[in-house]
Amino acid sequence: MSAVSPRADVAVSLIQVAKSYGDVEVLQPFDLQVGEGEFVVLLGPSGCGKSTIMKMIAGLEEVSHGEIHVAGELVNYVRPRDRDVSMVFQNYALYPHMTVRDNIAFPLTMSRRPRLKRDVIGARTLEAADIVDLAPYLDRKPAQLSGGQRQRVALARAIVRQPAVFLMDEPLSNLDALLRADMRTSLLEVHARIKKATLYVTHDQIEAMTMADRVVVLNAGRIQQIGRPRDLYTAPANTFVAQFIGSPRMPLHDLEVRDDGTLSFADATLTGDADVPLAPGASVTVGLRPSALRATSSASACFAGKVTRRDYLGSDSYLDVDLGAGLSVMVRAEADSAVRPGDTVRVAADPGAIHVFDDVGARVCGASARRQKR
Amino acid sequence: MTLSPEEHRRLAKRYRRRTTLTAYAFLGPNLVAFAVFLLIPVVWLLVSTFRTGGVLGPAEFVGLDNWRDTFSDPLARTSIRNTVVYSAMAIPTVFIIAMILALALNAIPRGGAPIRVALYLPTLQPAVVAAFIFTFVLHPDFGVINYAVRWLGGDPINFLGDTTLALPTIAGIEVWRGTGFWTMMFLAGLTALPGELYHAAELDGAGAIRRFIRLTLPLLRPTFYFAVIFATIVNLQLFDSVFALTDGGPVNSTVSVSLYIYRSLFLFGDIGFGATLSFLLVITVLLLTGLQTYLLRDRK
Repeated sequence: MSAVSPRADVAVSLIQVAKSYGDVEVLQPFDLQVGEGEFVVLLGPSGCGKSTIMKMIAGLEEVSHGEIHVAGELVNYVRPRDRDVSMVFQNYALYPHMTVRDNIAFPLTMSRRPRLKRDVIGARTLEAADIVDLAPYLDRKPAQLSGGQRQRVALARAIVRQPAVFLMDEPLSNLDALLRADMRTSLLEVHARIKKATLYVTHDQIEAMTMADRVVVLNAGRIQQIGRPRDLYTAPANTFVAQFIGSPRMPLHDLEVRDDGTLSFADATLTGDADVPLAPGASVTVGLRPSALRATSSASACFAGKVTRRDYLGSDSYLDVDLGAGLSVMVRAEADSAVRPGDTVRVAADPGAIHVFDDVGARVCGASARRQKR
Repeated sequence: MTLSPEEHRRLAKRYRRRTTLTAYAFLGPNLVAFAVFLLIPVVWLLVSTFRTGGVLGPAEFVGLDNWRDTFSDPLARTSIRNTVVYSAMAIPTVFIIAMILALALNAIPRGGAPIRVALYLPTLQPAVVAAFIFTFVLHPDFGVINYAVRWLGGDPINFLGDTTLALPTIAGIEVWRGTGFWTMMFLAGLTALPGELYHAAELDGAGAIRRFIRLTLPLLRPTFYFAVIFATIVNLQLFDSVFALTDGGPVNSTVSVSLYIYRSLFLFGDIGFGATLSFLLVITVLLLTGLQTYLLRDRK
């Protein structure tokens, strides 16, 4: 077992936790600690294992290897109901035959130690319903509520137990875009109010970036990076994170390092900003963040190319720019820019626009670009 | 170029007529079969309750005589009582056993298929085959159970020859035959319940028994609704196992309504009496179905 041990101020601690079904390993061993009051988002594509992590913490899936500690206690062999965690499910998991009031009160009525008095249950149910603005709907059945209201019932049912840890498994994925944005705000307000450790699963990077204190990016059962949203964006650990975070997706290009330790990219020279220069002859992958590349008329531009496509997004536009020699970049432009497909544009790269990855995809350094002298 | 309101009305009417006609075209064959094999016979049955004869000889109108005979006939009352007692024993028993088995099968992660097949096999036995099997199981002289009873030092039990044991024995055999069917029915209902609800309930602190009482039973209401009505209809028509095992004996202790109808119509040729008893059975089934529908309705 790992030498890592759970700290006292940590609400959830996963130590070398792994999951496999027979010979199929769905989660590689990993460590993760969630602090008291921290909001941690597990982000990754479908099937990457993020819900499995959640279910293992809840006790709904057995842990194949490693230890899970909740509020300082080892819970691997503790029943789900005794783990002091609440979970909000993707499909709400409301009891369809019970009213909103009974749904919210259910965990309290099930409580045996201590057995709660009816007036205590009533008061705590009302309090939880108030936090999520559900008080007027207490006597309705789930079928009589909208998607957003149902999700709030699920949230209230989780809140009412006053657990040490909240687990939320894609709770907003069944809502439409507008409601999702509203519910994101509501969830953060509730979190700010109750200040409990929260683990939140999503495949939506906007949810992750806007809500999380820290994000855990997963792919194919392996943790790719754990960090603050800003760190993931500015210093992605590898090509997967670089492409998964940020919209539009970062294009990647395979290049070879020149003898002088620089890279030739279209009509520009890329110089790594690492202390150790890039090894001459090494194969690297270069990614250029579209949001940090600007269409410009300035002479300081480092690339120039022909616009092949223009996507209008309202707040701004994105241009596909063909730089020749099979290289292309995506570039941000003003929303009302007059540039059209077929036009030639110059492109400037802001700091943090260019990332260099090694031949296995791990980030080596950032890079700056300057136009080659002809 | 737009159409006039008049033209829109005409086209809309034609469109609606065409869709309605298509629906009736599909329903037609079924409605014909319903009329020929159910509606007309039931009406004929009702008419027959006021007549006597009509098969070999001419029919004769007798007013309410058949109804008076039916209600005053002691054997008719016995047959009704036997059928009700039998149903009251067999239906709850088979439901409880089937539900326990379905819950157990639902909890088995894999490898349940052979058990499901084994459980369902008795349902596939025709009643006559089941009767034959149970002759070897229950016979006072060479039955397996009595062999065991004698081996344990007891006196042989005449399961089908004892007036107090015969009806419960038949109920037991029907439970054996029906268990597989109802297990599969309940298992299908259980499998269809959303797993997330159970995960939520588990986290909410509900143990297995409370999950069953607070979630499974209420959520299976539609399955129970069908099960109770269907089982009532089938069991009130108890005939084949009685016919094959006891022929109503001993001392009419296992005469069911259907067996008595059969005797009246085909052995005694008493068409009016048999028709009245049949009609009474139809009405009872309809009334019970209505009552169950009312009691099991989903209260909003």
